[in-house]
Amino acid sequence: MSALENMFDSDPEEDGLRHEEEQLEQSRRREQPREVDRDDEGEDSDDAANSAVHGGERSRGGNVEGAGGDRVDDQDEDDEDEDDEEDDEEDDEEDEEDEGDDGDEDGIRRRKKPRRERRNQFLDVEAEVDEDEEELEEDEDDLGREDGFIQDEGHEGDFERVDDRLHREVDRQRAAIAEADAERLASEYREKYGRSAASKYRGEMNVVPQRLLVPSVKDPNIWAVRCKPGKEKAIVRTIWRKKTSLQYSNHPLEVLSAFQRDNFSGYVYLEARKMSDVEYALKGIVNVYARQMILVPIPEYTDLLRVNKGSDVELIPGSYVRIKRGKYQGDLAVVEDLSENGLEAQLKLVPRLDYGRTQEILGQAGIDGKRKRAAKLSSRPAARLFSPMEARMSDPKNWQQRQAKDNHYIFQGEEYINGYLIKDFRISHLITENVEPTLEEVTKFSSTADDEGIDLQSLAQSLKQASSNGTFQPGDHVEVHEGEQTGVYGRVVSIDRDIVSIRAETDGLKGQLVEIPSSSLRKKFNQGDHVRVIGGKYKDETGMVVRIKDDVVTIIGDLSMAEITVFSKDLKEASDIGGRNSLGKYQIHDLVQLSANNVACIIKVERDAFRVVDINGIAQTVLPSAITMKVDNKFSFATDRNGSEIRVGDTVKETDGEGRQGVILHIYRTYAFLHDRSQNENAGVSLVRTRNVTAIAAKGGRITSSNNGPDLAKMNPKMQVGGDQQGMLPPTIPRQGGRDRTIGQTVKVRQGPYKGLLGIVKDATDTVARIELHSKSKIISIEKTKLGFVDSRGDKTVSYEEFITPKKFLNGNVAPMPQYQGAATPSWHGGQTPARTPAWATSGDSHGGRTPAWAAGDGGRTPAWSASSRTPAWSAGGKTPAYGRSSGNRTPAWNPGSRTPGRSAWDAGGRTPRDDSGTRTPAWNDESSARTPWEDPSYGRTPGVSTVVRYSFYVAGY
Amino acid sequence: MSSRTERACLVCGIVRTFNAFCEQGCPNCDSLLSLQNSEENVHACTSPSFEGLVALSEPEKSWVARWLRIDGFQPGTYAVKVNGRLPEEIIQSLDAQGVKYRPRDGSVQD
Repeated sequence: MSALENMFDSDPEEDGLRHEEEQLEQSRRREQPREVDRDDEGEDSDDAANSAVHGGERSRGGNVEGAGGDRVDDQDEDDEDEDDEEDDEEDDEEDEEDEGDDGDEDGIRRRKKPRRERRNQFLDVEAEVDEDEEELEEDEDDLGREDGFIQDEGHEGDFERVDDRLHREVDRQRAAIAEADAERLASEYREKYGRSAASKYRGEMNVVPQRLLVPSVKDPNIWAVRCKPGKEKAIVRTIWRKKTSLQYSNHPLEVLSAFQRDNFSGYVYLEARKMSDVEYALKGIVNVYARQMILVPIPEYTDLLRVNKGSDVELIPGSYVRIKRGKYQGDLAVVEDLSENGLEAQLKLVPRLDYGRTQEILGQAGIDGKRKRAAKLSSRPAARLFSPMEARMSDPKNWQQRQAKDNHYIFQGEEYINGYLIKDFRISHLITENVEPTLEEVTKFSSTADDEGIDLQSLAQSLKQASSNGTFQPGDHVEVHEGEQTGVYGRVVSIDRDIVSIRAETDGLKGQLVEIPSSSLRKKFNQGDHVRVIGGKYKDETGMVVRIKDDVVTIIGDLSMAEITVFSKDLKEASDIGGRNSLGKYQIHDLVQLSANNVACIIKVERDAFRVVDINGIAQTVLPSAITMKVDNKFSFATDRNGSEIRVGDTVKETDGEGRQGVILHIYRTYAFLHDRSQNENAGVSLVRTRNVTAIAAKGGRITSSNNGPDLAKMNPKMQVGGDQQGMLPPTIPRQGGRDRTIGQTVKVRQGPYKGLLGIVKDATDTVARIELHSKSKIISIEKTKLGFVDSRGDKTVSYEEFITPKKFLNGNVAPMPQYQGAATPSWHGGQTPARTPAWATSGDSHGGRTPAWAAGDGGRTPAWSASSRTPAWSAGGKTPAYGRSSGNRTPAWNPGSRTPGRSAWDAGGRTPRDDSGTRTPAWNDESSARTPWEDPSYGRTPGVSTVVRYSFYVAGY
Repeated sequence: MSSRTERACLVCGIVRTFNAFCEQGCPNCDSLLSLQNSEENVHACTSPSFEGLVALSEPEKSWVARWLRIDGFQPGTYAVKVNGRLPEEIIQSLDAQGVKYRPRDGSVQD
């Protein structure tokens, strides 16, 4: 077109041309109204173009005419152009020629390239437009006649119109039929496939419970075949290919199915009727060890195909993961998106950028490569949100802002949105299980988010696995937070793997046993509950619940008095107050040195400090660094108010002041730290002076000398003399000072149920010994007097009295008298009362009824002799009531002697004084001869003359 | 994770490549899900994460097929477990067609 106009401008003088142009112009003007009708955009240039085109078309129309008759045949193309034609229909009546044009247009479209080229050269053609127009019309008439469509020249316009409508009618009908066909076909197909699809799902629609599908003997067998681990899937695929390729062969595979499970590594499973089928199927397949084939028992079929939910964590956008390696190793990240192939995940994480600082340092450090690497490894930049400013400062070239409103930047090839790094990671480089995000980490992700909340949903998802491995314990208060039973709460009764049985406490279900998967449960707490943290950073803190929001529980710590926010899964109801009980090398209740003259007892351990009570009774908080050392005084002891020994671990009571009672934790100089669980002040630890306490119970039942301290009365001879006048107590054993000599001695029990057993004295009081038996692993308490002490040579046993008596009296020939007098115990003095038996009476001269030992000392006799010799004498005298009361003197020590044959003779005689008198005499005689009576076989037969004399003496004395 | 481009149909569990799903659709459920020529639908209705490969050659006779509820389907390779779930609107449209969607991720046990 523009070319046409150029012509105007460039060649105005060329008359011929100009004339032609004018003609063109006229023809254009003539066509213009039509053009406006057709084309609402009335731009001149367009109009001109249109007219030119039409002119051209018309000019070509003549050439096209031959093809005009083909229009009907070319239905398809006409159908395509139907719209065009319909648009033109209004024009049809106005201008018949136009119809022809349109028809020609169709024709032109069918024309091949060469014809189109002519159109391009229309300038030449255009010049002859007028002539062509007439020719064209004539041509058209001829054409019409030739085809036999046009019968009358005079009515050519009408005929043309009718003709076209018929065509169109046919076209439409055809189109309609085709359309209907297509629709019918489509619906048929739909019906067909729809129905077939529905039939496929019939099983799904009326769901058969899987328990009705359990295998029976009628079902095919399943064989488990060993294979190379890791090749299971490939083998299954190979079997599948083999199956398909042999499907129509003479010998198809008779295997019904083949499968593998990731859980059963090293096995593929084949379902078939016959073992030979399996063998055939596996023939020639590599990595299968067909010889190791096991027929799976029918009941185990279902286990092979069990589908366990959550055996592997499926990543979804929003779930938490950790990065396995690299700069972000161990960092928590949130999954933003997953790649299509499921191999990569787009993560959001807190960037670790140093904004070129390392580079600077390295630049200064030089070019040492090793150093560079070391620096890289050692210093990982701290994780903090992206700072556009710093980034721009450090590396402006690689800094680019994407969208200001989204805070979206590209820095050094990485993408940062809202301060977080958005980066793709391979899923194999991520830790997806047991992520257990901590609240701190999670808060980092939520800190800049618009809403204050943490995405608990995804958090719960990530924690689900963690919470499923047995954080519930019987007795826990739990609540169902998802599923049909949402809102039900109760107490855990039992746990079977993932299924928790709870005794419901909700109104409707009260008392019923409900089974809930543990993942749907969470621990339930109420405000005010006293709880202990059982996991995580705050482990072992205790506190009171102050706020609960879903899974997140805020507690106030008992010790720290600070708010702690933890997951409810990490909490447990607890009645005790506690916290960590050790920090560094010090533990709670340790005695520590604060300064040269101050020690303190740790009463509680805080996060980084100790609370102590010092020797002044003042509670204070000290840092571990303020502690010089730990004081170890496990074996220190002190005496209490009564003089009893008290040691660490004993229970004591304060006698005045506050009357506190407690277990001694430490004894330091004159102070004792007591611990009483029932006290709240200073965690139950208090400081007392040892002088102000009395022992209540000794640790471990240790035998204390007595409950009220040593018997001072016994220690005091004067008191004994005065106080025991009427007591008629038998002589007791003198108390020895210092360590009890019996401890550590080997003894033989002489009386009681353990009679005859050997043992070692482990502990002893004045009268009772604790003996560890040789034969039985047992410690018994027994009176010392019932023991026989095995002497160092091990050949004989001696009584306690003998044992306890200083050796010098037993063996030495020391002058008895002064010794005797001086060494007399109060008991002995008591024995000197006039009311005593004749024997005692005789002892008035210090020679009488002394203990054998003394007697021995008296005569310088052997102990055995002296011991026995007195017996009959005492017996004889024992007829008096007084003596009867003093039968306590018949201690075992006396008896052993009586067991000797000789002695029994003595005893027998001793019962009747008269008879005895004869036999006893020799004893007395022997006294002078220093002979042991029973060692002398003849003494029993000794004539009794002197005996009689002696006896009469006794009587006289009586 | 499964091999690179293989995916399993969330409805029937058949395992094919992503491209195969796009080009041929799901042989069992295409009438329901119209996966053919719709990458979007393939993304929505198939999962790249599945476990347990079953080569099923004779669905009618196989107990394994019955147990996995794939006995009405075409022979092929199926997954025992398919992680992931159909989008809610597709579940609803299945419902409308009288098909009850049964997730194959192990969350439904009966």
